[in-house]
Amino acid sequence: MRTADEMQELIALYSLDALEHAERLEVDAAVAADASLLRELDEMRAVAAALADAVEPATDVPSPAVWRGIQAEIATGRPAQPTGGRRWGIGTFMALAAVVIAVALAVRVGNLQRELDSVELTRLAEAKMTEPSAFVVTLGGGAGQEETVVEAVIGPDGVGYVMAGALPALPADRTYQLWAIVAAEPEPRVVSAGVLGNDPSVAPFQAVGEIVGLAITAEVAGGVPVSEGEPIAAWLADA
Amino acid sequence: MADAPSPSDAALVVAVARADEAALSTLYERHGSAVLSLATRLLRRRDLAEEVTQEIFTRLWTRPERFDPARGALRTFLLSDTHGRSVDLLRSELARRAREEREGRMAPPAPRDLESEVMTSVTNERVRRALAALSDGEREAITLAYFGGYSYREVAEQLGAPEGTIKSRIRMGMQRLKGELTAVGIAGS
Repeated sequence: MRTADEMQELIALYSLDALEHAERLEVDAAVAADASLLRELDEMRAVAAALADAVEPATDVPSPAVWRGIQAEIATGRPAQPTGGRRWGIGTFMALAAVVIAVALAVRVGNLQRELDSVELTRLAEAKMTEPSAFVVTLGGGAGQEETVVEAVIGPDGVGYVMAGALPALPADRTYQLWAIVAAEPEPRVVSAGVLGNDPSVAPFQAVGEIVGLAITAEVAGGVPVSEGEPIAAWLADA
Repeated sequence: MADAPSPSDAALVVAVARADEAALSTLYERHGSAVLSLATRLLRRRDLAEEVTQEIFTRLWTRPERFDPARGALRTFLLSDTHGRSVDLLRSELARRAREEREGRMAPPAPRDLESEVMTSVTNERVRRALAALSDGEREAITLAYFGGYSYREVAEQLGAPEGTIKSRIRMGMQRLKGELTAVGIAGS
């Protein structure tokens, strides 16, 4: 069993790809189980990337053949799309709660929140609400739950804000997670729109595509790619 | 009317996840040169470096969920990915060379003074100062490991130092770089 000090040493080496395979696996397992080690690894990687970025370019731009090669590759290998799931139509958010939320691609945009403080976010959200083409929706709680009402505003550019201050604080090892239901054929898709933290106020999110619903669930800290929890609050557009 | 701000990297990765090729193209324009440059520096072969570049962006398309913006910038993610893939290739290439040297089919390559090479090519003054503030041993070990693509065991062998010493130098050096670069906003959270 490694001491914390030894593990920190391995993480520094890992960030430079200077470990042997077996040691890499050891670090993989350690960071998967310890958020503070994962953070340390991310910080070390940022240092390594800063070194790479600081040196004179070893070459100029890639030749056109590289992009052509990428295009050829992606033409045969699109990102996996969600399969199965129910058709979202006119319904209540309780219907949403009845299904396992299938998420094929969960891309978190939580970094946006870190970059902006709450006051600034509130100002931006209020400004977004005044945009003529933005729309404001209300996410409501379900039967059997204490009514929770959360407002969200979504702009035509897909930038939205959820005013989540009414949500009660969760324990430190839990987080609220926002889900966007995006129009798609043959069925709408449910995608993660970001983790909100355990005691959120105003949180931004970025969505791509036509949003036809929003839901908030409570998850383990860090969020989940697939939620099986019941929404705490949700909104679905009328069909 | 002012131009709309460019979409963030995170927003573009979301679009990539929606199979938006234009978003991938924008990310490639932003970061393709940096990816190619790092791969070239490590592999010293343009053809292999271009293969790595293609692979990195193709993987971003097929596995966009591997990038988690909460863990850092996309550029960091791409450069880490590039470094890892290049090192894999480099080690297999070095293993091949070692075999050929043993069989007498190839002369050993001339040793590179990587530390001087890197220090003369650092264009960011703050990074240069941070590197210069390290002890010679720390700087040497880090540049050999990162820009040479060597494991710490190989670094120890090249420098004729105990493995434990090299591990310690790399760790201390990286910690000091983190402190210096975070203080000037180049790295860190």
